[in-house]
Amino acid sequence: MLHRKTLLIVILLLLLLPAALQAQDDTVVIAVGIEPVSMDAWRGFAETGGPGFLNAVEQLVTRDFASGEMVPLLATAWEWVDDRTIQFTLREGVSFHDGSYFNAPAAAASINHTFDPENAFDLLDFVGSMSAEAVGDYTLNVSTPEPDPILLNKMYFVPIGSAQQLMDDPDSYHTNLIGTGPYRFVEWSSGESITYEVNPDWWGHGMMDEAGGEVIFQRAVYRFLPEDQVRTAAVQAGEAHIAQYITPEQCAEVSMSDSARCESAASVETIFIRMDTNSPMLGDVRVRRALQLGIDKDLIIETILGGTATATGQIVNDTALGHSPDISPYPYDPDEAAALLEAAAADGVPVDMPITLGARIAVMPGIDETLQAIASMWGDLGLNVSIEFFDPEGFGQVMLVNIKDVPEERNFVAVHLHGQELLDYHISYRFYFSCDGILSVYCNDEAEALWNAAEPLAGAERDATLQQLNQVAHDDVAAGYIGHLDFSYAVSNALDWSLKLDHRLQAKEMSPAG
Amino acid sequence: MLAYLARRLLQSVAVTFVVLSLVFVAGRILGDPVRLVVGIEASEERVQRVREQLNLNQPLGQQYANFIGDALSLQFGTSFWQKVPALPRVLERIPATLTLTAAALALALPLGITLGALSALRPWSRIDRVTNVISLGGVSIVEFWLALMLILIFPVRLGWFKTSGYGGIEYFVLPALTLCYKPLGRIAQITRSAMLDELAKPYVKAARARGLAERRVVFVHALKNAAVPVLTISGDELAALLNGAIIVETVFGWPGIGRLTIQALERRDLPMVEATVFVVAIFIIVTNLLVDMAYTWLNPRIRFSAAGDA
Repeated sequence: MLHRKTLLIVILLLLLLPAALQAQDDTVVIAVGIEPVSMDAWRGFAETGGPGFLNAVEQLVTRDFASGEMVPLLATAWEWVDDRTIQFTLREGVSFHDGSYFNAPAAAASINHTFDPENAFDLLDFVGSMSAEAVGDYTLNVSTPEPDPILLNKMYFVPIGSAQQLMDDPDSYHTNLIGTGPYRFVEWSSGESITYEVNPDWWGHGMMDEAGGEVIFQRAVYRFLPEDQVRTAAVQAGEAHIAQYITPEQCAEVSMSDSARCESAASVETIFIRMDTNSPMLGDVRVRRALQLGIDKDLIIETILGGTATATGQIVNDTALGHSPDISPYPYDPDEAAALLEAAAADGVPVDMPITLGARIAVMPGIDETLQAIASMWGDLGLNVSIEFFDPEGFGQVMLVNIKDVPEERNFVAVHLHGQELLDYHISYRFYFSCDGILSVYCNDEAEALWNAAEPLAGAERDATLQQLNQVAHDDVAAGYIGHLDFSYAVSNALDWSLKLDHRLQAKEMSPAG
Repeated sequence: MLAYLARRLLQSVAVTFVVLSLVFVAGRILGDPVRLVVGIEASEERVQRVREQLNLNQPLGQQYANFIGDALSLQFGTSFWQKVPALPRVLERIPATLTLTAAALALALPLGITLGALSALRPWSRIDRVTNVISLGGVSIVEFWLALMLILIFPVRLGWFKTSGYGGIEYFVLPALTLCYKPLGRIAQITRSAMLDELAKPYVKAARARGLAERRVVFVHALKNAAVPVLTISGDELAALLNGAIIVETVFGWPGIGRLTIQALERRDLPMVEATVFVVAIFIIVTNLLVDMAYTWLNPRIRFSAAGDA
């Protein structure tokens, strides 16, 4: 009798559990894949490295993705003082979460700390050097060592942390995120989650348009779930509102459910194919072109990537300066590819050289199948292709090398992702195509001259020169491409949220459905 | 007995030292940790700067001497990744892993022993065949797959328990079930085999001939003797559970030491890897010591041997 009673109680508890386990109404729960390295404010420049950081820290300016324009946030106005300096007028009446005031000296201290070479933060490599100087209580000059026409765009990637914290307790900079944002950092449970709660003193309350959103949820929790299937399941089970970066298959599965939907949007990530252009084989432009004509990109995108990419012939998408609407993807034309290889062979080009086709393990969903498909298509052209996957360290060793240091017999082809968050082709070219680029296995004097010419230019002039450069690189098949990658999210139907191009997950842009 | 224990402790110190030395060497010869810390697009100047900051520019011998000195004082340095002292962060994660492994073992041991014993008492019966299926499934199944299946069936389809995370019983059930299945299978197999051996021995026949109750014959005499190999496998299983915890903790987002190890390895966070290996090595050594001591209770001959050594 006692056993039966116990059994009944257990069953009752199990039946009641689901209701008790749903996410709380005043809390938005977001399942992300990667735990941050630390809580350094500068890590807010990227969602993957700083999940939800932009809830707590804000930038001087942000981007309006509808118009593509930079718009005010902590700065209310700005003007170019000279070709190296922008003078910002800062918002008054703003305070950090630790109670200290936001003003020009505080902003200058934060920016200078972020770009101090001694600190060696990643952001320095990403956007280059800059420094800041307070020229009034609310007037701030931000300068670069050399003229930099995209300095304003770069400020989108510079979150402002508390100067008081840097002065009083610098060690806490790595573990306690203090900014001016709509949510205060509450807790980082290592291995588990980050919790933010509403900042009642936020300057943006009641200023929805200017502040880029409004605070509806009282708390925001970012849970670290490395497995994409588990992130998706958490949304399906009502435990999370958003699951970041899910696969096309999970997207299809979620789309069939009543409780959640899948949202996808183009990202700034491009799947590209980097070829050792100094090898006797890949140094011939006909061979490089043949390799690209030999890949059925549409088939890969439809069957392997589940349609979550847009075929392309260039490394930046149409949001970036230097993107050329005139450049189309290389078409799939195996006959033309075979003819080009034949012509190259007739001229003595060793088209039978072994090609190593490599990628970093798990660099994107479907990378294994993508490489196998490319190798198979190139095999059909009679090429000798082997596949190799690398761990991050090993991939760094084969990728992080300039053309001058690549042995001619290596004949390596890498399939990799490039993200152009700064929306400027000039920077992509520097890394992957310029003669001295740290990741470049390509060098073209004509293109290099155009790249140098574009550097000091701004606006339409810069765009036109970069487009010209893009065309030269395309005609010379400096690299091959598969497509611009879309990123997908499982989103609970209980949440109103629209995905933006920057793929940031900010609670101020979210609200309960209905 | 005390001398035996002292000798085992000395052996344990030597083993810990060797394990730590191996981790030190492996961490440095299997690639450049600095490049992984700073990222692929970092300039060489920055790489050098970070190398100096992390004291990885010193000669290897000097690094090793520093490392051993620090380890002796339980100082493993500051995590490259989390910028906090490594050992306290590892110790923070211990309760989560211990809770999970203890629960898994607490489920696997009685269930495995019961199934194995029942199976041995009725060989080739229906219960024996069911036990074989369960135990074979346990030793063969991939934990990653099992975890995902449990998540899809219970939280997603039935709305029971949590898919992932750390907290109360609702978070705990699925990872514990996943983790216990493999040891359950192995313990059931070993128990069945050991019990079959014991039940065929003359002392069991003699006990039955003397009219002892079957329950006493099986549970007091046969099962106690069969417990020696079960205890051995259980000690191994506890160590294996820590390995299994790496996968289970990763899938379920459980903030334990297994997940921390993977994250530290991915980031080549040498201080964190070294502190983790140290803690796990100590845990396994202590477990083995406890198992050895339990032998002496189960088998007086082992106790005699230990005393004789003394």
